[in-house]
Parts: sequence; C-alpha cells; structure tokens
Amino acid sequence: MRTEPDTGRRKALKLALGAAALAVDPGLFLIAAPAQSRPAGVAASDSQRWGLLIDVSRCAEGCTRCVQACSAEHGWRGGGPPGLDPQWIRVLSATDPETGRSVRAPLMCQHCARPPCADVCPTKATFRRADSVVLVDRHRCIGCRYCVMACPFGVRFFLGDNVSDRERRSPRGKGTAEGCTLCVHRIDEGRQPACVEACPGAMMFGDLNDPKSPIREVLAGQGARRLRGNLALGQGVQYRGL
Amino acid sequence: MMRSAARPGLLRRFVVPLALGVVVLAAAALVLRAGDNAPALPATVSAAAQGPCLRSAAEMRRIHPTLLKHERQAAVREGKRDPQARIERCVTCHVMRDASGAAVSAEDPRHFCRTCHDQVAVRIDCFSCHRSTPPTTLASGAAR
Repeated sequence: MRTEPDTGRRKALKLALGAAALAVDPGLFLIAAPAQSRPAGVAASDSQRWGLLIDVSRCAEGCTRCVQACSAEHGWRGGGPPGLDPQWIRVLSATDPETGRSVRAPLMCQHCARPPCADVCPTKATFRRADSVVLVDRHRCIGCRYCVMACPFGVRFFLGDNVSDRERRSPRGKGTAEGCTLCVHRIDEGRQPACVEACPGAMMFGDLNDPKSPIREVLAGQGARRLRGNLALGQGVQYRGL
Repeated sequence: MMRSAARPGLLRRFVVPLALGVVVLAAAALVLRAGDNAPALPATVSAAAQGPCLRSAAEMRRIHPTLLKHERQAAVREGKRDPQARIERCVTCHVMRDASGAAVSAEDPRHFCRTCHDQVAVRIDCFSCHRSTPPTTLASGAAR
C-alpha cells in the first residue's frame, strides 16, 4: 500500500489520466453480462480464464456485502479466534502514511496462474482447474496446512472444527484446507460469484481469455494491477485504483 | 483282486469330486442366500420426486462406491458436473425422518447410509464435508 512521494509532474499526469478515464467511461460501474453455463458432463477447459476485476475507488466505506454474501453462500462464519478464523473473503483497508490516502478492497483467493499453494501441496489436493480456478480437492487433502503457509496473500485457511449440517452449504469439513472457490458451482451454471452479485458495482467477473468480454474491455481501456506483482503469479483477480 | 482294486480308484475319481462339488455348491448357495438376506433397504421418501435412481437397487448396492469415486473425480478436478449424479440427490431421495418429521443427519444411526454401513462396520467420511440431509430447497420437494 506504500506509494512513492508524489511530484508535481506526477500529480498533473495522474489528473490528466483520471480526466481521460472519466471521459472514456463516465461513472464506470463494473457490471458484466452473465457468463455462459457449461452443459452437464463437459469438462472445464483452458479456453476460458475466469477473473475478477475490483475497482478499489468504488469499494464503499462500511460496506461488507461481498463478505456477507460469501459467508451466506458457503456457510462459513467469521469472528473466531485469530488464526483459526475462516475469511474466504475479507475487506482490507490501508492508509498511506505519507499522503494520508486510504483505500479499502476485498481480498480473496487470487486464483493464480502459477499458484504457490498448489506447488507445495504434497497430495495434489490443491490444484488449478483447466479454467484457472484454484481449488482444494478435499477428498485428497490431508490437512498439512502447507498451502496456508505458502499463500502470499493469507487467503487459505484451515478448518479445525466440525461443521454441522445446518451450516454446510458448500462441502467443507474438519481437517481440510479451504478458501475462495470463485464460486465454481455458480460459474459452472453460468452465474456470477456470490460476492460479485452482491457488490453494488465495484467488482466484475468475466472471462479474461475472451477479448470481447466486458472485463477485458475495461482492462484494455483502464488497466489494473495484480497484488504483489513482483511474484509474477499471474493472478486472475486484479485491482484498479490501488 | 482287479475288481476290488478298481473300486477305490472309482471312488477317488468320481465320488469324492462329486461330493466335494455338492458341498461347494451348497456353501455357495448359502453365501448367496446370506447376500439376499442383507438388511432390507429402508423405506425412502418419495424417490420419484427426484426421478429414478442412477441404477437398479441391486447394482447400486454393489457399485455405489465406484460411482461416487468416479463422479467426485470428474466433478471436482475436471469440472464435469452431472446433476443426476450429485451426492445431494442421493441424500434427498433417501432422506430418513425422525418422529417430528425432521431429516436425520449421518450422526444418527437411522440415517439411510448408516443402516447398512453400521452393520458391515464400514465407516464412510463423505459426510465430514458433504451435507447428509437434503438442502432446504430440495427437502421441501422431496417431502411433497
């Protein structure tokens, strides 16, 4: 979140760029058309690359709709002891001590193209599906927690408690690792992830491989950044306005 | 001498194998009958509400572990989803209800899977992650 000190020239440049962006797309709201559902029995393919675009400037103060939607969709509850709290998605806020500028943005599994969590998994329980969704195959997970330690974003969790039937909406169980699934069950039906559906315009979901998809158009026009770009993980989740 | 010597040969050649065969057949029949005497499938609530089962009851008894394993690999790792072969559908059709009409979970010995699995002492861990009761939206359909 640290930014370099602004010089006058940089400020002027930024202003000009901002004005240009507004001119191109005044009042940009990230709303994507629903994706196509995949027919039953057809495997996910690498012709699609699902991604999220998060417009930090539109992430409204005090809003936690994405977190609530995720919690309701998958049946996890926050508020547990530190370190054991499942936070498939959480809202981070950060302030630049030099400029005082503060930003807030949701953080969830970044669905890396080269996921460190999958690299370290001894049983290949953590894997990247053909369409670049990073998942945990709990049938194989032995609960070693290597992935929890390997994730540079701290968005992998270990479930140490039993889950009752009432809470269990998506499969999750004691002794396995878990994290954002990009709502694969919804994607496969052609729906948007729960967080995107609940968000009033700061999140966009789409196919990064399709040059005509709205997410690609916004990315081509406005650009976005990946967190920890120095790690070159090729995340599917990108942030605009950080 | 020749005749008396031939008799034990005959006995060894035909009678003993025949007797052995009869014993083996009888044992096989007993074992098969024991198979037929497996606990009767518990009554299910309106299986028709969710459509027919994937296979016949006899086949399901034999191969449901293979089916489950195959489907889980295809669905989780490859993304090949078959709405007919969801574990959610299994527990919806084969829901067992307690006196108050609430669906019993796998923690209860009355649960459909447990009625057989308890008897053969095979512990399954499907329900440490998956729901063992119908999801609320489907449960209302099955109860109809």
